[in-house]
Amino acid sequence: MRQLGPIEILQLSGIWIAQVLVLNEVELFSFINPYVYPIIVLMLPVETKYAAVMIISFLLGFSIDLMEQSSGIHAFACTWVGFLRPRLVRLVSTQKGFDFGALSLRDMGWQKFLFYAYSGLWLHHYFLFVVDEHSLSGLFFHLLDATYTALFSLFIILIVQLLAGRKTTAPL
Amino acid sequence: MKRLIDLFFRHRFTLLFLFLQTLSLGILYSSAHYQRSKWTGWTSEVENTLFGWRSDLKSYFSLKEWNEQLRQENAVLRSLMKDSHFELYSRDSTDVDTLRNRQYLYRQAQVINNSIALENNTLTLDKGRVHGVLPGMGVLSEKGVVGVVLSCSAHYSTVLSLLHSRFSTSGRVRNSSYFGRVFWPGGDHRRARIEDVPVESKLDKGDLIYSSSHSSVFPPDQLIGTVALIERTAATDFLSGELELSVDFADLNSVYVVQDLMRAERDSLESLNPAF
Repeated sequence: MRQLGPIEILQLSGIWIAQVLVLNEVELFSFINPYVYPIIVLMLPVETKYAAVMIISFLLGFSIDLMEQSSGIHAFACTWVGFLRPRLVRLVSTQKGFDFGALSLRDMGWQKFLFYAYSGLWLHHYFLFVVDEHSLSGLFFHLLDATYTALFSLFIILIVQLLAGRKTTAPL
Repeated sequence: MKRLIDLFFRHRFTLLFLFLQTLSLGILYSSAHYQRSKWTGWTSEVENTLFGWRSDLKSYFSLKEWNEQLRQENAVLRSLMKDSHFELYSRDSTDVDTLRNRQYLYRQAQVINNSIALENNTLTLDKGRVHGVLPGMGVLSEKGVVGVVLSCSAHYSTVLSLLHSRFSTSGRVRNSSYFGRVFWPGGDHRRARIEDVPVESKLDKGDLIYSSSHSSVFPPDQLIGTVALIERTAATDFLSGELELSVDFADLNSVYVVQDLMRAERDSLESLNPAF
């Protein structure tokens, strides 16, 4: 996403609506609940101000909290993603800096996008599970939980990316 | 002041992040019961741990006082105990059993005098004729054979300890009926000797030696000691060895005086036969 135009905002809202209306009701194998909305934070234009990214991620998480009545855990986890986003971007950048057009599958290519999105999702899921469980032992066993739930979330994101990328002119 | 502002400015993103995190946790704790209870659980646990450490530390300083208190209390309790009273009559069981005849009667006794360093050692017990103790009865501790009652007064009795040159009894080798003579040669109060054990018994180090039924003083199968050393005299068919005594005579406090209620019958029968 190169800049935040009305179409992009519509697309991101689409992800949010999908998360709230559909994916929150999904419970694969009765315990995997995919969360795709952090990708909204991850895919904001590269130029977006750091502070704005963090505030957006907080508000985004908070809105999910409101819909799920989960009081603060999504805001907590999502703010982490916003906070760590520049570090993740640096990881997929070359030495010259970030030289892709946008943070999307089309511009970054498979390898980098998968790494970037998966890292972000994993962090979000991990912090979400840990703050939800609120126990010290959770710090360990949620490492694994986050690993496969993030895998499933990423899978859904890829499907959406591939479908949306083909039909719309605006690159997602 | 400028530096402070600089510092804040440099860390403004981290501060913003922390602020947002605090906000979300604030929302969480103000509304979610589960996480709030977890949180208060943690904090109270930390508090209690700290309090525990503090009281642990403080208790070291009052240990001496507590010891004093406990010892005083101990003294009071000990003087209340049964052992502190001299029993004039010991109550023995008078159950009537038509299937079994009681053969051994145990009387508890305390060792009030003891020696181990002499050539002929004796013990003194706090039970005498009044309590039914008679010369010739066996004395055991919970660990094994101690000695034989030598003489009795009304309230006390002396015991010929196993550590006495005149003491000798028959010891049976574990898992067999082979037996030998057990006695104390003097010296180490933890070592006795066993002699005249047939070679066929395959007596070996570590074998347990029990009292045998040959003796009418002790009940059979009372532990005497463990074989610690084997000597074989070339000319004979007998083994001898050293025993590690099961009873530590240096640490002897509570013992039992055993009366064989059927001893008179056995003795009178055996005295009819000149071979015994």
